[in-house]
Amino acid sequence: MTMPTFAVVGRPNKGKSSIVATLARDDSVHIAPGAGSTRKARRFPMQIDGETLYELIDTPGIQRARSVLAWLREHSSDAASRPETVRRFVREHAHDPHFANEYQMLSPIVDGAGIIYVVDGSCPFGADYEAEMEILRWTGRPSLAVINPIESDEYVEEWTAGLGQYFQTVRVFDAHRAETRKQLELLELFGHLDTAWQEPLQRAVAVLRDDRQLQHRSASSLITDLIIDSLTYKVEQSILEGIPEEPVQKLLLNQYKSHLVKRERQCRKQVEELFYYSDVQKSEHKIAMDDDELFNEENWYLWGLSKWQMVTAAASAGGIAGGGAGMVVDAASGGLLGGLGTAISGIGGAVSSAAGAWRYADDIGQLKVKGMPSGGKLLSYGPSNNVNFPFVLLGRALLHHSVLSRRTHAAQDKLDLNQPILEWMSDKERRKLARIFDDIRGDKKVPKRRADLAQMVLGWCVAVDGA
Amino acid sequence: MNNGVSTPGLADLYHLGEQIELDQEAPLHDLRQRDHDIGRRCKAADDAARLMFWLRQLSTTAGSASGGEERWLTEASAAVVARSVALVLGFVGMASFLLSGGQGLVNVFVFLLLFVLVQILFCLFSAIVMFRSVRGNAPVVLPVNPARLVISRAFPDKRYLRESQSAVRLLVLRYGQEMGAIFTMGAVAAFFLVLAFSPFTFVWGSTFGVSDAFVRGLTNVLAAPWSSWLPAATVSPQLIADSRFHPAVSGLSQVNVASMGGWWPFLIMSMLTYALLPRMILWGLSRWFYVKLMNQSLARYPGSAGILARMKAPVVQTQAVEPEDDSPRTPGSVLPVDDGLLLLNWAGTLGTGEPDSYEQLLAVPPGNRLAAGLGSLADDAVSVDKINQYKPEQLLVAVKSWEPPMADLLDFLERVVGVTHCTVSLVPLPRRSVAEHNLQEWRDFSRGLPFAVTDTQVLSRV
Repeated sequence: MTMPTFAVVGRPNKGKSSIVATLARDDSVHIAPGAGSTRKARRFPMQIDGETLYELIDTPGIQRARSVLAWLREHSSDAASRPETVRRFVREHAHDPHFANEYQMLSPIVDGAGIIYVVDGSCPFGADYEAEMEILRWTGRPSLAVINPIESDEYVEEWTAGLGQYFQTVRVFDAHRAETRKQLELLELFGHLDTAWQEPLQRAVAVLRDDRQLQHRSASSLITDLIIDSLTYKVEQSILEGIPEEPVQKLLLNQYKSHLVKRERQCRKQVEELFYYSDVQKSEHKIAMDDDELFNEENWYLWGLSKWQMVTAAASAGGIAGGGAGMVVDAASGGLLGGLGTAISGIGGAVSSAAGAWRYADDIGQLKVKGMPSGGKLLSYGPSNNVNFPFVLLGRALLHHSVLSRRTHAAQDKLDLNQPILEWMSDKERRKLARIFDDIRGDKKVPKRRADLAQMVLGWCVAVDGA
Repeated sequence: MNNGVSTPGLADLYHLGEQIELDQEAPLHDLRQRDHDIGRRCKAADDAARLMFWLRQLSTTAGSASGGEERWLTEASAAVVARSVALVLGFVGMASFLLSGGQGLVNVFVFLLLFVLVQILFCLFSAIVMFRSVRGNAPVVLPVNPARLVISRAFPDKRYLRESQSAVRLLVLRYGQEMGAIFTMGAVAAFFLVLAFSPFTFVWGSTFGVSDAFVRGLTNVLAAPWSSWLPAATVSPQLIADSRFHPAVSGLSQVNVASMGGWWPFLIMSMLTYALLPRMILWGLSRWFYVKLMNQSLARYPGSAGILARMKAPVVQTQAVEPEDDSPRTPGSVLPVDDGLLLLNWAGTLGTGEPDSYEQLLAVPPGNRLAAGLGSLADDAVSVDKINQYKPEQLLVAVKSWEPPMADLLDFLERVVGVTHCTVSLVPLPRRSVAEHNLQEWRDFSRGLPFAVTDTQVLSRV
């Protein structure tokens, strides 16, 4: 059985490379707004443990369709000889710079590749396209047409009718916006070009589907790790008696901030790698969310919770903790207090937590100074007690994940992460998160709380594909 | 555990943490490949065993099994020392207790209090700690707990295993129970040894008004587990009556003294049943739970899930295998453009009568309109001849602004001779302006055309 191979062909600047970049999950593909960005056929094998299941070939755009067709007509005697005539054309023009693009395009097709013909659905159909479609028909290879609506779908209907004359299957596929499900559907469709290709394509699609799940799972673990690290991280420095504290305090604050900024950046990079993005950080793909912004409290209410949401969440967490202590008192009194202890301490916990959250809403962490038995002092900064801070980190991480997940590898625009993030989160989820964060801060049942947090984050990550 | 992989220990958690930290900086693609290769070699089914296998493989590859400096006192040697101390303390404690009493008298109540009741209380406390630890809590360990000294040797460095504290507690418990059991064994050994060389008289008495019936009831309850199959280790009412002692009453008859020795089987059985047996059970349980929690800790260690997933998941590669050709581009070589007083409608850009819809084309006489780029190459040749014969001052070439410049058009214009000025006229799509990148492409194209003067214009509707 021959390995399924698909040559992605068409005119220059019709989105061939975008389709290949999206399906191959390869953001290294050069996609320029102008034509002619692909000058040499490039192969994208889909491999599982080294075994190639199929291969996509990005080809340069056809330039001299009518000249090629004229040559073919001149050298063909009847319909049966057409594929052989195309092969002859390829053989005879292997080193002809005049037909370099045509050779690159036709070469894999005469070697057995299926044809994926790409047109732009935002431009009108024209009779001048017929020459290239005719050439493809002459190859005798199975083919399908893909309409890529680069800017709009204004001419999709027109194209569907026009392409229908030459191709049995015509599909619309927006390479810049297609969600994973549609990408996999298209791949599955490729398998229908040849019955022998169905099984490997179905297998490939199943693997890619599992891989997607794994991406979400791994991303949720990374985000959970980041949040827990931010909740427990602290810096310490001992100083001798008489040494001024202020410079050391500044140093600790800087160390604390730079660690968390670095940690967040590291998490983002790892998530990008999970989704096979290699250069999102480069200028043209630059994320519109600066690292330094993490400590800009003004933006916290954009990424995290609003002040009221924060106070409610803190009150809930404090109420539970206080109520727990009250229950112990009630139990000890044999129920004589009739639950009064639980009620009073619950309310007390809620009020004090809410007040603390409000009062320290703009403080990341607290500086502590302790005397040391050997003399001198131990200065420490962190862990962060700020109720909103883990929400801010979580919000930023989830938004980053969501934007990456929804993005295709053909997209070249900036990742815009400056938008309200956690607004979709229900009050119940916010309260639950606040309790989880509280327990992690207090070192209570950390493995269980980690598992709870990871579960919630996974749910949100997976929901991106379902949204 | 299987696959030749040993039970994980605290040091393994540290190594795992170190390796995960090292991996943070490595490219994910390399990690996928490495971990999947290891995963394929690993035959173990459970997560902890797979992680242990992974750790061992990486240690082997790195060439050093574990980091950290050599210590003069390892966990194992500290445990040996602690066990020896427990044995000696048990032995010495019992011997001192037996030998310290005056007149060779041993108060059964004090014996039971020290070697049975206190032991039971310790066991009870340990059971609570175990229960809480297994449930995921990390109960406080007393600073005086001798097991802490042994455990401290198990940590390769000062890092805090925040999420494995339950396992650490169980390890403390395991050593604690082991030492408690050895202490009791030492006490039992001392009991036999001292008893063999020195006659003792077991008596009972209390400043509280304890009756014979109470003591009889107490001993019956205590002896209940073995009284049916080991009646020799029970205490008879007669013995209880005979061994009642009050310091005010002096002179114990020789008959009574001989019979009072009858307490020892009961006391031995009490120690074995209520002090040693619970210790052994707790020891066994703590060992079992420790392994279980250690496996859990390893599998739940932050970052472990990623390793396990990479070990299991196939390495999926969809990206290009060779880098993109990034040699310098020659925009003019393939894609150029041109101008004139004669209009060339290229590839059906303008429909019939459409030239009059554009301001810039109104001046073109109707007879000066040609078409090319749609029919055969022979048709193109006819159009080229017409242009060459007419030799217009300016050649206007109407093209689709939304299409890229094609070599087809370049081939055509290269055959035009005797024309000095060529204007590439871009026809926009209805209700849309020409995209900047399209305009730029056509400008580049026109610059490369073989005319003395070339320019590009966007046609505007009348």
